[in-house]
Parts: sequence; structure tokens; C-alpha cells
Amino acid sequence: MKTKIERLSSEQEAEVSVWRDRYWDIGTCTDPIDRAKAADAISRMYGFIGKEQPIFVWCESPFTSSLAVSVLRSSLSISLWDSLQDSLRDSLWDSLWDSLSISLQDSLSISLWDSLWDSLQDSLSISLRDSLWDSLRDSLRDSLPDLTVWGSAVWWLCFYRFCGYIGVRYSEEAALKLALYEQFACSAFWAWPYAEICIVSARPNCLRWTKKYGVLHCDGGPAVQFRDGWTLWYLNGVRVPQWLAETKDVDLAPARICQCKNAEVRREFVRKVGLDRIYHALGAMLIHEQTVTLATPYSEAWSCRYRLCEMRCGDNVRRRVLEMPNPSLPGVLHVEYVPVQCETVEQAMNFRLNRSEEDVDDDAGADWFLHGDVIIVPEQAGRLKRWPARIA
Amino acid sequence: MKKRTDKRLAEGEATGHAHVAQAEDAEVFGDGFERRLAAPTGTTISHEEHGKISLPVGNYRISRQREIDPDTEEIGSVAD
Repeated sequence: MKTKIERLSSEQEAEVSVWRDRYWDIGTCTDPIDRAKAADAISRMYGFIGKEQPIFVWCESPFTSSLAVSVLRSSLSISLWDSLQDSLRDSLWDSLWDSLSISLQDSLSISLWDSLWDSLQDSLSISLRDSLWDSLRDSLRDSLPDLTVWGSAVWWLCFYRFCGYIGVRYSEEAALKLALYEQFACSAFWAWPYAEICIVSARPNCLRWTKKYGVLHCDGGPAVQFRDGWTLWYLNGVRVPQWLAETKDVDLAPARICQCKNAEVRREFVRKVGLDRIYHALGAMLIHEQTVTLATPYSEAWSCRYRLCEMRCGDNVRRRVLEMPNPSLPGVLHVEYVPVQCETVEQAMNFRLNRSEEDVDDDAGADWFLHGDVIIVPEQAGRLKRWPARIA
Repeated sequence: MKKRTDKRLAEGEATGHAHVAQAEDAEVFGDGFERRLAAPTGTTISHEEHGKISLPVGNYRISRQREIDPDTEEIGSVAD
């Protein structure tokens, strides 16, 4: 039986961050597309699954790529995404399994994969896909293209390449496929591979982050911009309208909080403008406040202050908001609109939880949980305790 | 309710982040704001911005908190 690699040498340990940084640079590169290299990599990958070199359609952004997919829909046969992925994964997996202990796979996943995944998959890829969906939904409606894209998994590439560096031996064919995948990742952004046609998107020419391995963020300008003008604005990982990102905090009218219908966008509005300034400008009055002790993932006794306030957003209409701190993001505050009939924090919470006072039983009621805005209640529960057993 | 392959309890519009059941045997059913979670051995719930919480063994109803639209006064689930 082959001996598996159980741990890294001190030299290899030192290389982990170097490799991670290298692939962060690949995943966040804003250089123009290198068509020759991208076409070469894709054509050879097609060869591995028995397909001819495709006709390439070059686009400057995922947005125009998606339009191209939609326009060419009738000419496109089946997507080769699954075949390309399977071809790559299957040939790598056995080598990894044979050569690397489970515990080392797990620890490398944490140190190499997770940080790149959080930023490049969660913050960049998923956000861009959601933005694409929003941008295309109105114009294309029933002819929305498949938004599954190929070639954006840099965290995955980093993991397998590092394993090769520490001694995992891939077959010649597997090593070549991995090299081709990297060649594509270093020369273009995303691809939509079909049997005869492959649509390829160039990389953005601007990407701004809170920090390395952080989330998309730019206060004062776009956080993501492509060469064809497709532009997206983010504050602390939240996709926000242009006016919120680009207007200076002192120039933002506090009454615009009413335009922020999305709770996360409102959170960023509050963070940028400041709740004290908003309350002062909108003549807010404290109606009721209550501090409760709750269990969070970080503390069994977190002191959470809820405040019920009334304010007028410049139109003389009374509006009540329930203000609360975020249990997972220190210093971040949320304000959520509740009916003006709410007179206490408890009434406001009952409204938010869609329950009446009769549904509350602190002695015999069931435990329930609050994860962000998601309420998790045992299926057979009748009455519930007033406050969640755990909040995050 | 249809079983979901992504085990998502909910997902956000502005961030793309999602509340996800982590246990291998956990099952999530349904679309939109009302879902069901079956956790025969308990499960952890994760989200990119929130700390993880552990749920004991059980079946759960999943819903979203409500808020009122400041302009129309319509009541709806919180969009995030």
C-alpha cells in the first residue's frame, strides 16, 4: 500500500501563503484577455473530451457574453460544462485520494481553499451571477441564458496545484489538463462552452476589495467594471445602487433611507451616513427600548439593545423602525420598518416574527432560532419562547 | 415541497450569500420564503456573514422575518 503524505515540511508550510497569494492574484487579475492562450487552452480541453476546436465568440464582460448566449441560443447545442468538469476532476481525484491523508486534505482545504473561496467564489462569482440575473431578467425574460460558467474556480486550481507541489503525482494527462485549466484562468475570465461554439468573457478592468481575501467594496466609485462598461457598485460585499456608492457620505440626504428597500442595502446606508445623523435629521423619537441577553456563536450572554423609534422621512409621514445590532458584525446596526401601531419592542418583534402575544410562552414554549432574518422553528411547536435560543 | 439539492434555507439578493444546512443527512424542501428543514442528526447552519449556529435533531419550519414597506405600508418578508 502506498504511503500517504501526512503532513507538510516546514518549507512547504511556509509556501502555503505564497501559493495562496499567487492564485489570489490570478483570480483578481484585471489584465486584458489573451485570446491566443485562452483559445489554445480551450481547444485542447475540447480535444480531451473528443470535440473539435469550437468557433470562439469573444466578449468583454459576462453581461455581453450572456447576451451572446441568448442571441445564439438556436445555434447552440448541448453545454459541455459537465463533460469538461468531469474530465478534469475524475483524473485528478484518484491521485489525490491515493497520495494525501484525509487530515492533510482537510487542513489544506482550510488554508488554501477557504480564503480564496470566500472572496473569489462568494464575493465575486456568485455576486456577478446574481447581478447578471438581475440585469438580464428584465430585457430577456423567457430567453435567459444558462448562467453556469466554466473556468472561474481558482481556489480549486490552487488546491490541486499545491498538492502537486508537495508530492501528489498526477498522471501525465491529468497534469496537462490542470495546466490547461490554469492557462485559461490566467488568460480570460469565464467561458460558456458548447459543442461548436465557445463564448468567452474577458476579465474586469477594475476590481476593488475591502482587503486581500476580503469582499468587494468601493466607497466613491465602482467596485467592478468591465471594458464594455458593465459596472457594479458594492459596499462591504453588498451590491448597492450607484448613488449610494458614489455620493459622499456628507452629501447623502438621510431621508433617502426610505429608498433602501433591501435590508442589506439599508444596513450599508446606515453604516455610511451614520444612524445618529439619520435620527437627528429625521427628527427621530425613541418610543421604547429593551436590552435582552441572548446566546450567539461567540458569546453565551450577548447584550442586545433593541430600540423602537419613530421618524419622518421629509414627507411628514410617521414611520417606525426597530433598531438592533448585528450579532455577527460588531458595530453594524440594522433598522427595519414596523407598523406605527407598535408601541413596544416586544410588539415590534411579534410583528417581525408574524406572531401574536398569545403565541409566546416563556415557561413551556419551544426553543427557536434566528439566523439573520431567517426564523427556524421546530415543526410541531405551538407556543414559542419570546426570544431565540440562539441568534447569529 | 420539492427537495433542494443546495440545502439552502434562504438566499440574499444583494450579496448572493445563503443560509445553508451543513449536515450530510440534512434535507431542505421548498422555494421562496417558506421552506422546511429535516435534520435527523442535527445540523449546523452557515452563512458568509453570520456565525454558525447548531440545531438539535428535528424537523423545522423556515420563514423570514417581516417588515413593512415605508412607502406603501405593504407587509412582506425582509429582502436582503
